[in-house]
Amino acid sequence: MLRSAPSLLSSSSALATLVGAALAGAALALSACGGAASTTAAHNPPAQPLSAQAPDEVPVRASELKAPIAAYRRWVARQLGETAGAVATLRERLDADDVTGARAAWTRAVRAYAAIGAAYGAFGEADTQINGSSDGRPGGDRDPHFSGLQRVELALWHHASLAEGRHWAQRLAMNIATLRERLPRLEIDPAEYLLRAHEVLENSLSLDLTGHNVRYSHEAVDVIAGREQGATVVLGTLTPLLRIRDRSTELRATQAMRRLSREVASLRSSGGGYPTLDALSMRSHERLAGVLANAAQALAPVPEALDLRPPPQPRAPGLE
Amino acid sequence: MIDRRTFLRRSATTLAAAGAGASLHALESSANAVADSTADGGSAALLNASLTQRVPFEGLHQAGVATKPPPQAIFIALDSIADSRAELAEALRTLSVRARVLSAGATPPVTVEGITVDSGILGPSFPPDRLTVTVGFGASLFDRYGLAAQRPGSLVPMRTFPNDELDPAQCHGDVLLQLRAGSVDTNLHARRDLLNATRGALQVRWTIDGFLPPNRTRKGHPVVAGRNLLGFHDGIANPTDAELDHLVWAGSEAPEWARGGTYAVVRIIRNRVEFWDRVSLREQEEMIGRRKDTGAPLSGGNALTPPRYDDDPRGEKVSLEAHIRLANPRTSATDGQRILRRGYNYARGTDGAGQLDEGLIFASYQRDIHRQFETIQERLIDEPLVDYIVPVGGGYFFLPPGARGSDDWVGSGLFA
Repeated sequence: MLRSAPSLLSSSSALATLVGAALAGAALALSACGGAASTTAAHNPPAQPLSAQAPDEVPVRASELKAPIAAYRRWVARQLGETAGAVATLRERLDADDVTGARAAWTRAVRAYAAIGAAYGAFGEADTQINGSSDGRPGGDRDPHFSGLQRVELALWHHASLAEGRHWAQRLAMNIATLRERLPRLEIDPAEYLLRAHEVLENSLSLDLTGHNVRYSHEAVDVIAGREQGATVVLGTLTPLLRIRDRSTELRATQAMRRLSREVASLRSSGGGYPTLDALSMRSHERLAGVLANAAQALAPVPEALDLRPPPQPRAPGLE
Repeated sequence: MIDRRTFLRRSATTLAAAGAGASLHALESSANAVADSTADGGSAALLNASLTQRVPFEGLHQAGVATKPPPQAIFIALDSIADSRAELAEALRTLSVRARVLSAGATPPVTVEGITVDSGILGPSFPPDRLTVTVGFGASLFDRYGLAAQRPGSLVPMRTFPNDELDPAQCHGDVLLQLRAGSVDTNLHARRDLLNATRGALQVRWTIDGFLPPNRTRKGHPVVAGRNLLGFHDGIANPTDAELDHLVWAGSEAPEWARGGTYAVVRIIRNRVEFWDRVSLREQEEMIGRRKDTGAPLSGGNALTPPRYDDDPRGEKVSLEAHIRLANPRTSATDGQRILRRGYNYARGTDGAGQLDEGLIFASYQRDIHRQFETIQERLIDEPLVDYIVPVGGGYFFLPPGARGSDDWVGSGLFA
């Protein structure tokens, strides 16, 4: 179905009021981020349909994503600050020859950075420099271009080398500073932003939970906790837009994220950290995997529900 | 080194042919086994006549490349632990001897004592069942045994591409065995036989089983390649038989012993199937460039209609980043890069997080790995599909020309 211009116009004025709602939702999500970041705009009363036309058939305009993206940018700035703080501690501990302290600081850094939700090449080369893996590199983990958090992890756990750790931690601090400085000017593509929440969870399923990621320290649960926080924030910024277009998707996604938040929180120790992946019981691992997969599935329809393009033509089933 | 001695002794009995009643190789030690298979083949009385179909082992080219692919395949990468070039040659010769018997069908002799001559998983005699055994050599084999001068020009170790997540335990290998047959257990039987026969010389590095879907084409519709586990027809645009000399078989550019062979690229490409199933049909089709139901290119027509890019320079019909468009832009400049694809689907349980481990054993055959496969693969770097497909293993191999007669063996030219 092609939308006619008049219907777009008539709904656009009504939709304009939503930008404010989106901001409110985002702010709420951000205010919750200090803790488990589990409550989102779900506290807002449900919006009523705005026009006779079903709003889920109205493509979202890129301008409507300005406020959510601005809120997200503030979240990224905050998390980058936290990452930078943890990396500063990491370097301090390395200078003091304190391996245990350095490892703890590294784990805090990787968790803070994971909460940014920089999955699937968001932030491009900057992200690769800060958190790229040795995968796809001709020299594997000896490749000279392999750097960042995972390079420090290799040094601290696998090589147990403080000198190596110091070298790569210094580079890491530099690269984080560069990204922080560039962040205000960094382009965040609205179409890509819509994909972010569920892709972050997909990364956790395919890389973190299998031990493929965070492969030297096995601190994958910390990374999953970070990613859950990031996905919750992103979803929170989109909830107001989602609510009027696809209430059932919004409810399912919010519920599934709450369940995931609870599951992650149940694994947190009194000190705020998380167990290593191999320390999880089979039951805990299974539960975490299942709840994560459920959240990924519940969030998958979000990009389509907020699609920037008109919906495709319906198609008859069974055509071969 | 008991293993090695055992291996040599077995090989010796193979050579001696006579008095080998209790030997592992009794069944193949005479031409009788092959004759059996043609006379009765262990198959004349079979209810299931398709099991009696036989693909000749000998030929200008090895079987199992251009021959029509049966539904089951096993790939085995082996490393040679032979202590000398002669031992290696003997193991390779043994592979051909056994392959000839296995692909013809036979009734193995019954021995009550000693090592079991035949696993027996196919019964007291086994039919051919379209089995082909194709042998390949990895670059490492040439280096390990001082054969670097004979290494065919474009054979190198498999590259790591930027989107790969390669597991070293599933990569490379000195020798590749590619088994194809009509049934799973025919391949399993052949794998055990071939490994038993070369124990002490060839050690398994990795192996993977694959399958093809049955023909599900409806009446009145064009017959196209089956679907992969992403649900899309895969291998629609393959070269025709007439194009193989030009695109697949090594010619005068190769060392003499290698002419008539080809280069195989095997890639174990995991599909993130749960993630893929969470993607809309529209998005899936845009990433591939074809309709999921019919296989037709998004530019129109049916599955066999070549996609049109000349009148779609901005990618409005087939996205500029669609897999089929990047892989084969269908220009005169890229025409010679085309490859013969004979992939098989695989499904092997789950990973450590309860996610299904399913995907494609990509297998392509070409005359030059760099000029063809790698050039295509470079165009595919960072294509949108990379989030859903993860190369985790594989290797590059040279498949020598076929055995020329009943005394010849695959790879003999390398040791001449």
